[in-house]
Amino acid sequence: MSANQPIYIHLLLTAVIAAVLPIVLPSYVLATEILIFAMAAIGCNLLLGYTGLLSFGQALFFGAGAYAAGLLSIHYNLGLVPTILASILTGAVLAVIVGFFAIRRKGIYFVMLTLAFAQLGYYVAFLAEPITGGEDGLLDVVRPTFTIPFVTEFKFATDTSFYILTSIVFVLIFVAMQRLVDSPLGSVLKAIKQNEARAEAIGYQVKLYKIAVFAFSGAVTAVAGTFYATMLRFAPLSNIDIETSEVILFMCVLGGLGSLYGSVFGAIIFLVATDILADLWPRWMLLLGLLLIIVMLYLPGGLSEATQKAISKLRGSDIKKEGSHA
Amino acid sequence: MHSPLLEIKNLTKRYGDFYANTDISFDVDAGTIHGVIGPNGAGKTTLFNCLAGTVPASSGNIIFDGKAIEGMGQYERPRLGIGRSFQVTSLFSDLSVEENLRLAGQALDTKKGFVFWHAVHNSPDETAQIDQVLERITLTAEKELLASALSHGQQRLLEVGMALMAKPKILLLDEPTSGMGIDDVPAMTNLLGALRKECTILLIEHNVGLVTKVCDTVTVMHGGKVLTSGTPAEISENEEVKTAYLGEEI
Repeated sequence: MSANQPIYIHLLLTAVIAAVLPIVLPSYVLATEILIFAMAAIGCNLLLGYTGLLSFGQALFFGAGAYAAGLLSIHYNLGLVPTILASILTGAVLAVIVGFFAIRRKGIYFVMLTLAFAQLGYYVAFLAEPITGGEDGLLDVVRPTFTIPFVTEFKFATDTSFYILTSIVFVLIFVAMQRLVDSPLGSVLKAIKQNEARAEAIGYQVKLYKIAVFAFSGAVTAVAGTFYATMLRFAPLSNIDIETSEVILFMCVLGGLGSLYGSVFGAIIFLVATDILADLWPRWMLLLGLLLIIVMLYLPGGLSEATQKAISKLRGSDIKKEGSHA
Repeated sequence: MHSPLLEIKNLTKRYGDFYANTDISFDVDAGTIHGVIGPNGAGKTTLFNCLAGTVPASSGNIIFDGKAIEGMGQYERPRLGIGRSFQVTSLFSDLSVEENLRLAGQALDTKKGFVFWHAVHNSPDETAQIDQVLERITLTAEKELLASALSHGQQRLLEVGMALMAKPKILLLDEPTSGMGIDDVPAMTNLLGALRKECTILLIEHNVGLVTKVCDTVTVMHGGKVLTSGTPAEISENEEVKTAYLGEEI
């Protein structure tokens, strides 16, 4: 699916996904949430799926995006584009800082460092109550507006209009990130994931590349956080806690590492399952845990790869049948 | 004829109290194949890693093409014209043969690897260079295969091919025939023979037959020091070398 398809294919596919979701799902809010977490899972996939860096601290960037957008909208109300740009910058800068230190260590120590930074962020947000609202979260977040001077102003006040906005940003981010993983930079990241020592030996300064991918991951994840806070009109403290990091990681692994469509798929499965199962059985998390175990043991490419294989198998048997008819 | 491309001067590498390399000095002349041999534990690979920049030297100088390089990082050295291969095959095993080579070529331009706004695209020159190297290492037919699907001998050739993509002035080869079957060795010997017209080669090798066949100069290491240097003929007559290889005589 991702083997360097032309850009319009991805544009088309993601636009179709964004168009179909609200039709098949019970609400625009659920569809919005899916696209938001799909973006966060994409950010995680850049690190884990493409570069082999397991970050347990994605909530830090997600939360930072939420607070950045929340605070800017409450105090300055700058409008949509400046708010998103500010969130991108916040996420990227934070990620560069975390990356700069964390990549000095490998394996489990790297993972622990990302976790430690995120926990640090959590307690800063918790303690900075006058600014962030502490445990109560940041209330009264305003949805930024998009003004075309002398013509009109979009307020995105309804669920539908906010969904349309989210899908536009989702499609743009997806296509940009798909372009990134197909680019020369993406090829270096894949090389680093496979054989870091060799990548360095042929002339790539691996540390710089890792910091660069952190910046992209942080930026994308922060945009997701921004949309989450503006969707809820509220930035809860839980945005920046370890559970959010886990959920993002869960979606990313469930959907399939090394495929951006997988990340979207992971977000859909996780949130739809949550939506349906939570009503049926209070211990629904158990089932998702079971699903993750199955995926990790038997479907290392995640659900997206499993589906792809199943489809190609079905097609293969179709072709065989047709062949035998002829 | 006597113009050193690489000068190693009093190079020492220490790990704690252990001296892996002590006061190594020798020159590698441009346009030659220079072999480094020695028994296990002689410090050959440590020397190699210092030259490639995998580990920093503790003291001494490495002068390459008139420039002191001992302080440079590993990733900077390919761009100066230093290519290397690994003793234990180290490829991007889940990428195609062609992609392995392309990545090695792309690395030479520091900025190119950071381009994220357009898809990977080879210029005609780049494609031509990849094809040329593929031909050299006799893997043209295998270019679409994953590196992991190659035979061991072919992987060893791809190792050298990746180093060649950097159009190196010097090629550092760490036991290029290690683990190769007898049948595969001639392919490597032929490749090295063909390469001598283009670049200088510093070869670390266990296979004494290969060394005497292709090398112009041989340096023998023993116990972290240089025992002697000379032509293959001189080396095979040297009593000290025989002792080093066969053990101390009592």
